Amino acid sequence: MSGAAILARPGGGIARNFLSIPRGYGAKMEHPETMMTPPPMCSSWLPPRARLLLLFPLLLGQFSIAAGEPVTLQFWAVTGVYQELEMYKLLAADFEMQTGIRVRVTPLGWGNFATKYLTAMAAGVPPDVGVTNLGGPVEYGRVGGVLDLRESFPDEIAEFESGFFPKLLPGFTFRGKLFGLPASLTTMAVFYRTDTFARLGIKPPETWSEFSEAIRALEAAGYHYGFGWPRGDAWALNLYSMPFGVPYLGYNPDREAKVFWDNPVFQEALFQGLSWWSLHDLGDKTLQGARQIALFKLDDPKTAIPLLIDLSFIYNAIPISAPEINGKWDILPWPKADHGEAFNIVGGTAYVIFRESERPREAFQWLRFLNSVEAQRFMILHSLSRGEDSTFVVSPIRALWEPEAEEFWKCPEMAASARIKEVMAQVVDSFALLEPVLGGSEVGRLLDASLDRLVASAMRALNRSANRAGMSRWEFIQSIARGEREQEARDVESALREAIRSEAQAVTGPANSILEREARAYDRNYGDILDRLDELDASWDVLSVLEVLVAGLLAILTAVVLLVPACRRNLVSYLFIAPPVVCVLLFVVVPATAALYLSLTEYMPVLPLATARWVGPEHYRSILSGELFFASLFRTVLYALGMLPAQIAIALALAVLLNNPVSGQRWWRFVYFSPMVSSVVSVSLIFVALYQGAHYGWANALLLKLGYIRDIVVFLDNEKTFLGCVIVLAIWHGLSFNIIVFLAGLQQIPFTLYEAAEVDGAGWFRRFLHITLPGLRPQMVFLVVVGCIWAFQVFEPIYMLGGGAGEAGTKFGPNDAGQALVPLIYQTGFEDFRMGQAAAYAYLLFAILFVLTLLQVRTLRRAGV
Amino acid sequence: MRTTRQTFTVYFLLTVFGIVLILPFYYMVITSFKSTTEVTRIPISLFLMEPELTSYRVLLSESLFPRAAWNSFLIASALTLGNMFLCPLAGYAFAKHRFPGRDAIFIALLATMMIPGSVLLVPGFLLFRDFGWLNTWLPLIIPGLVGVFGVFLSRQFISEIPTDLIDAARIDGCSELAIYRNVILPLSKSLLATLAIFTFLSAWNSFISPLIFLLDEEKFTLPLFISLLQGRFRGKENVQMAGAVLSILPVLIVFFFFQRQIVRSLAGTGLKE
Repeated sequence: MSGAAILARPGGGIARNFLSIPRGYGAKMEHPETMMTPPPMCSSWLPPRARLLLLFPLLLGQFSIAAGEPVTLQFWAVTGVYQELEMYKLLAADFEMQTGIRVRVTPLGWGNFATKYLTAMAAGVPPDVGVTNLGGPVEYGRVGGVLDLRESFPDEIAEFESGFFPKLLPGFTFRGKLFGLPASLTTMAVFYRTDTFARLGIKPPETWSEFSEAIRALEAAGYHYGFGWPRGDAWALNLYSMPFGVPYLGYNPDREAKVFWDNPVFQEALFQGLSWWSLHDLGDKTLQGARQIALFKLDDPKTAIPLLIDLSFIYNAIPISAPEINGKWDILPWPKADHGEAFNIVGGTAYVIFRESERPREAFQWLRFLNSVEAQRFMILHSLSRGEDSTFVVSPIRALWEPEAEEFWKCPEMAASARIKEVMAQVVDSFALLEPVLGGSEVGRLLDASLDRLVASAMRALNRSANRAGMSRWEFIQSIARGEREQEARDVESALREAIRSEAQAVTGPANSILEREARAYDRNYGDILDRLDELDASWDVLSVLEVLVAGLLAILTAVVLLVPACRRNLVSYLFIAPPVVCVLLFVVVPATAALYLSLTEYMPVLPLATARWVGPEHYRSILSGELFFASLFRTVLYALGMLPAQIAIALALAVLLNNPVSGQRWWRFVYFSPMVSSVVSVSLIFVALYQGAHYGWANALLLKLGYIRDIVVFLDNEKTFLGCVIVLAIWHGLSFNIIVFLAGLQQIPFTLYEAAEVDGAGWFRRFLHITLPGLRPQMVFLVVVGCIWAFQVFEPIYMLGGGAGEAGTKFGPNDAGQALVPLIYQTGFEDFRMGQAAAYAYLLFAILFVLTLLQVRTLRRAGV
Repeated sequence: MRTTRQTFTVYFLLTVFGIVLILPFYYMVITSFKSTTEVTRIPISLFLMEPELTSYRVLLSESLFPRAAWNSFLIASALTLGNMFLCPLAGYAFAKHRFPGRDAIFIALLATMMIPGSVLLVPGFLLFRDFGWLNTWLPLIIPGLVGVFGVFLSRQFISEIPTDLIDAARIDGCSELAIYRNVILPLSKSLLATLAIFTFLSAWNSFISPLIFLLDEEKFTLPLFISLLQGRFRGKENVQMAGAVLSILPVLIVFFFFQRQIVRSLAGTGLKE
């Protein structure tokens, strides 16, 4: 029986078994709304000590239950801006008035939400309805997490479905099942300054070739152009390929999922797109929204960008943050390809109803309400009323775009949006979504890395040619735009074409084999297993075995303590040490043992743990014969080697400096120790801004001023500089701890040694070399050991510098430049949900750390510490 | 003897390195007080021209910052209280009691410290799922209520307390718990301070476990919230930096006043043999 057939099993039995309801706390989780009520503030009439004690019940109060709640739907909203949350709350209030059904709106931050939803499904705690990204419905639906709307609501769905633009629905359909509906849409658009274009005599670009011409004309006049979308994201692939009518990923005539990188039309699209992005000026993720508009409103050719590409929804933010250019700019749809049937790329959000929901009818009612014309109008108006964050969201409801709806668009609140409505109305029919494939997100990451490499190689070719011509990159680009360097321009372009061909060759095979593997794994995992779910759910898995073992062990220990007289006399002692012993057994020994077992199995966490399939040392074999792990290990070692020696050396120098008798010790130490107590996540946020914040950050400004670089470097978008950025941040953050350790060591060196040396006429350097350094040996060994162990577990700075939670998952630097070992474990385990493999990685890391520690302890002993 | 030139060099170098070290904080503070217009102005400025509070207003009214800070505070407090009570309790038993298996159990506990946290992430996730603890604070609190390292520190510290004092209390008829409360704890003030500082700081700054175990934003801890700012306030560095200021500043202020104690604690936790 195939997986699809099982998903069709009537009665939605899968949800019950599939996402096993957690034991113990399960009952309490049914009313999460009460868990989330804010804890009451500590009452002021209590004495201070009692108030402290209150913290415990307060915490527990977070999880308590309250009875007698009205029918409440849980609704998780993925919100880009906070106001969106308010919007949903207002809609919910309205809905409650109409139907008596309460909707509790909970925010799920933008980014990483696919992981969050999958985790919630795995844990059996999903909401009733959720807002997610456009790929979400099928991603959750194919593992049985969300309802097939066609099966669940056969009477209403046909009519409801027909209300949406039809080209959108394939994006939510998998093997004939409709797993979600569009929520709000946006697309890419071109914004240009009419005054500048008129002055330079440039035609507003409607096709790709006109767009290329416009770029050249602008560059020849000294202007830049800007784009608010990362060129190296897999999403950008849509941007390149859709105008040409070729998807980069889809099904061949035999209904096999394939990547189409070997398709010449796609390669041409990729070439065009990448040359806009990478053979001209820089672009990076941070050049979006407010910053782009700030540059858009300028006139000075050196800094202004009179042409910018961004999501259409920023239209309404421009007049609010840049009223001075009203009437001097316009919007155009994303250009069409010169040939081929174009379709429009779409971004946005979708709604899903989770299978676990106990009130699917009410949930469906809520969805219908949200997609009613009235609610849609309210959403449009609300989105337009957000000041600097005003957005124009494209409604996926056809009724709003039909002539009967004209009245709405003529209302006074819409006056400022007439033009964007007109432009969107031209393209809304062609809004389309790609048909989803299994393994799409993993392949997406592979292609992401490949795009990063292409961008890097294009930039390299450009830099090389510019160097040869003795110019900065920007001068060189301008000179090409003026038509002075035809030959060089062709060279650079053919280098890019060549790179695309070889990347396509390198990537197609592995990508297709991932798609094949995922299709096979799907039928295997969800085919065989779904039949036996009831039986599996009740059967033993490794954790329950271990839990019982630990309980047994604890029972035996208790029995021994109680029954053996020698022990019973010490009952109190055993009670005192019980908390750490139980804690360690349950939360360290059990998981560590389970991890060892898991690393020998293949396991998808949305299924019961008993479905983990024994594969023996297969994971270790494939990991050790593949490249991924060693590449990660190499990056980790590089990071440790780049960071540790520099950090220790600088810390040593500063400690010696601080050890001098200076006045104002307290202040000096405060300055030198302050990085240590700051959270590394916040510190990373500061460093991101320093590396490529406003106008490429202070780092660029400094290096340009000093003449080290001729062109701006987008540090965090550059494979070669990314890890260096992480290292600098880590050195800065870890410096204080090292200094403190050294200072403690310095104070233990007897002062008489220095005096004696001074009497002997030794200078400060010789004293440092012969007294200080040997005296600090234990500290140094300690710092190397601890530093190594920490360095091998680096995660936060890489996560943050990679951009944090991206919309399509986490990215650890361009071309995975920062994917060290823990990021690899995180990605495998909690984004791809391949628990077995992640556990195997974790055990390999453990082994490495173990060996490292043993080696260091031995060196330590030999050094006589 | 030290010459004036030497003294001057020391001050000069301290100042230069101090400025370099403090620069990111300086950037953070001045950017947080800029308006969105000033942040995006070209050329970028080293100084603050027109200080404003807009970014703080936006952060506090248009995000769940206060909630995240309160959440972090609650979690860190619970962990701190737990460790301050339970670690010395076990440490006391290990240091001053004699019972069968004492040393073996202690060494076994210490050995588990070798297991890196990243090994426990995947199975921990499954374990907490089994318990129904995902998307609650329990996985962040319960396993950390009594840290092995804290027990170790406590044992080292308490073994220095003269046994005579304990014996005297015992002769007076004190129960073990009373001894713990009336003899051990009052004599372990600096140990308790160390435990409190160490636990609170690491809980306040902890990131990867909340990232995996928490789902909806209303339960997020402060670092998780901060990690969302890049995406949520894209291009609005002033708001991002306001978030950084508000997450770093309280800790820095506490650090300034309890510097000596904190430094000694951290050096101590790092350097005990």
